[in-house]
Amino acid sequence: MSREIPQIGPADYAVPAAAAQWQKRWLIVGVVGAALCVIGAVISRDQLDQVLRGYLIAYIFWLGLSLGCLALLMVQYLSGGLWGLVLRRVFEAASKGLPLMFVLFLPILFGRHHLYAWMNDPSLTARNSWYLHTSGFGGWIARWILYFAIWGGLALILVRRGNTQDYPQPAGTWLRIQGISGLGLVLYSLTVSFAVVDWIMSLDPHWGSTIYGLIFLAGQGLSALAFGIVMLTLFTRYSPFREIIKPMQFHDIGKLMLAFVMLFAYFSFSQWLIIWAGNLPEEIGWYLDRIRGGWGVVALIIILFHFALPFALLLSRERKRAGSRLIGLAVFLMFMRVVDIYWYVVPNFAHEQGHFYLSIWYVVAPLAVGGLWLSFFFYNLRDRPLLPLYEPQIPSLLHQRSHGH
Amino acid sequence: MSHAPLSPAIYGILAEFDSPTDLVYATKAAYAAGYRKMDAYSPFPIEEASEALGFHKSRVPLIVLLGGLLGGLSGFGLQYWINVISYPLNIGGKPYNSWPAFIVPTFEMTILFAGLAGVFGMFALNGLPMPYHPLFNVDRFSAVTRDKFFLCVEAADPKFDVVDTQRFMESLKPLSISEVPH
Repeated sequence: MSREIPQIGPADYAVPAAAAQWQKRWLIVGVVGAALCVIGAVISRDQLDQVLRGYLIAYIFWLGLSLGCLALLMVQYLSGGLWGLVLRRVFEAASKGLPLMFVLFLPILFGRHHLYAWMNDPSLTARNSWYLHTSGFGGWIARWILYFAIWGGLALILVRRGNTQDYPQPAGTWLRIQGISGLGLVLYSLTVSFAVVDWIMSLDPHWGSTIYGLIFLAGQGLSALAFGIVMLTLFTRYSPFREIIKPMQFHDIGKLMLAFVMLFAYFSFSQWLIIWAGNLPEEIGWYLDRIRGGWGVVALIIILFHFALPFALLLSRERKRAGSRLIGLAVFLMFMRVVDIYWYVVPNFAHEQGHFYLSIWYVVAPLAVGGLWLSFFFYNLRDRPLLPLYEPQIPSLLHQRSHGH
Repeated sequence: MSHAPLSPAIYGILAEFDSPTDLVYATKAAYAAGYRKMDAYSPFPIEEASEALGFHKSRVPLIVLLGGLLGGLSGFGLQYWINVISYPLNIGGKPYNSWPAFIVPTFEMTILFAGLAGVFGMFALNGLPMPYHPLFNVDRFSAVTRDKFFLCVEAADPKFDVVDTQRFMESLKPLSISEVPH
């Protein structure tokens, strides 16, 4: 048994060369998808509406992935743990996607009159939404900039701090990053809660739910953990990560994913229980629009496949300990996140209230934005070694290597 | 105190280590040397030590699952029986079987029964409560609840031999070695 850390340099932990291929392929998907969306948007006004709705679904999901990764990055700085150490570069590269998502908000900004009824008729917000009514369009756009200033600022600080870990570090920098992470998580929770009210909940200006932000926070955490499992499984196909990353890390991330599946179900059920128990005309309509006319099947699919099935599968210890057995479920859960957002977004619009509708654009737009997001992700990821070599916990990660056979 | 060689009167041989890493290493070496009836003792759970012992699959998860199912079903069943069969009341015009309202107590009962099944199932599988254990005859063993790590190879192991096993355990460079009397 050797307690020495092997003499290795950052070059030994370079991102596998295959990532360059992935970057290129996803860029093709993104560009082709975006071109299709542009074509769809100019065909007719009806199609433009559908493209924008698909785009909003896509935007909420992929932005959520960047934000979930940013949040887990901060959580890991506070809690420690090898599960997050092996994902740090993944989380950082996903956080670096935030500038891209800032720019990708522009179609929503310019298409707002097709999405948000209250933008055309401000009196809609007068009855029930003091928040939207007093701030109006000016407040909405100012908050968009404020959210991204906060998210971008946090990402910048954390990524810069992460970059320094490729080199030997003076002692004492640890506490400062913990302070920033603690404050950052508070800011993250507040800004995401407000952002989903601005961008999704306000699609129906008469309806409000106080747990709405929490549902999306849980969803973002779930997406980020699932994405982390996919990336970690891909990288453990290559040396030296195959030898370094142990079942223990997958086990921990799998346990967290199980917790977030339950958290999502808990928040979602709480919203339903309170509105169902109150049964007030101004609230229950939101659920009726999402149960009647075929939407009930989607709701059932979400209960079964966003909660029940993943919950049952993730109870197994063996499943959680092997990336190869988790990756399929992780991809599936990311897909179910999109389905859940689809179920939240689409029944807001007059024609789709209580009438199931699935446009091809609800599939194309998430792939288009996803292609661009993933391509940019791999571009950022390849910039740095996949492990921060001078991070204080690295010895315990490499040390477990000498135990394992 | 003197022991005759091959004395059946001892429970096993106990080696003391300073760190979890040393304990895991020693356990692996003992397993590789063919010892099976042995156990590792530490102030906190060490997953690698369980693996090194060739730890069989625990049946606690199954007991927890059954406890949870029993709790959930009985929790829901109790509410259904009260609200639908035994004492139906019209509350806010809702159906008697208002299942969404039953979910929270059902969930709580699931957790309660699963938790209790886990604790008592673990007790039962471990043979607890166990007022006497030969290991407590070794004074140094009390450090196991503080900062020391122990490996005990039991005399019941077919490969056990007082002299050979003691020599083998000395090769692991422990802090101390003790024979454990019954």
